[in-house]
Amino acid sequence: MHLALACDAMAVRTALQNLRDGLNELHLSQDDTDRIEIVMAEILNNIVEHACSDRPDCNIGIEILRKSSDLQVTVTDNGCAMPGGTLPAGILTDIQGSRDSLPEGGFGWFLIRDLTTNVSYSRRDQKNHLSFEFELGRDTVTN
Amino acid sequence: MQLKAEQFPDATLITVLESRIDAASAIVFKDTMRDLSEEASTRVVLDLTSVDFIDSSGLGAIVAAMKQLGPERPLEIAALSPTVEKVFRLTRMDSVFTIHDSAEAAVSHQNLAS
Repeated sequence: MHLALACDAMAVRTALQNLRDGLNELHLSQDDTDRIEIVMAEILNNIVEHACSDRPDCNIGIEILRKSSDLQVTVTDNGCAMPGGTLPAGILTDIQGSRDSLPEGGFGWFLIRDLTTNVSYSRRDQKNHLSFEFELGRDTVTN
Repeated sequence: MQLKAEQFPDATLITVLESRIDAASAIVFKDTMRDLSEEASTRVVLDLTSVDFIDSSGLGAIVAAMKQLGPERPLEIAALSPTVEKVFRLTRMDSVFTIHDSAEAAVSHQNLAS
C-alpha cells in the first residue's frame, strides 16, 4: 500500500482515513487497525511539526508491506534531518507527582515505541526514512 | 471545535461534538475548554462519546484542560471509544482521570471523594 500526502495537519487526517480504508481491505482486526492509526498519527504529526515546519514544498510518502504476521512500514519525507541523527527514546514522564507537574506532551515517541518493533531511521538523498514493523494480532488485553 | 456545556446539580457536562481531538484541533479544543471552564463551579465531565480518535496532542490538550480547571474542579472523562481508550491506557493516563462508561453515569455519580 502506498500513500502520499502534503505536510499539514489536515492532510494527515485525510491520510489516516485513507490508511484505515486501505487496512480494512487487508482484513486486519479492529484492534490492529486502531493501534496502527495511533502510531501513524504520531509519526506523521512529528514530520509535519518538526521535519517539515516552515517548508511548504515538503511531502510525505508511506509504504506498507503486508507480511504474514506483521506489517513493514516505511515513512519517507523530504524535510530537515532528525537532530543528532537518532530517534528519541520515548520515555514516559513519571505521572505520580502532583497535578501541576503532569506532562502535556512527550507521549508521541512513547506510543510509537510501545506499539512497534525495529524502529530505525536513516537519512539518504536529502530524505528522512523511518521504518518499523507492526506485529499483528498482539494481545492488547494484557498490554 | 464544537463543544456543548450543560449544568447539572453537581457537575458541568461538556460534550465534544467532533470525532477527533488531534494535532489539527488540539489548540482550539484547549482554548474552547478554557472559555467553557469559566462557567464551571464544580467538577467537569468531558463527554467523549462522539470522539473516535485522539492523538498525543489531543491527550495533552485534555491534560492542559484539567490543569486549567485546578484542584477544586476535577476533570472526569466519560465514554471512551476503543482507540481513545487505548491511548489513555497505554500512556497510563487512565490512572490519572476518573473515567465513566457514559455521560449519564458520570453526572448521576455523586463525587463522594470531595
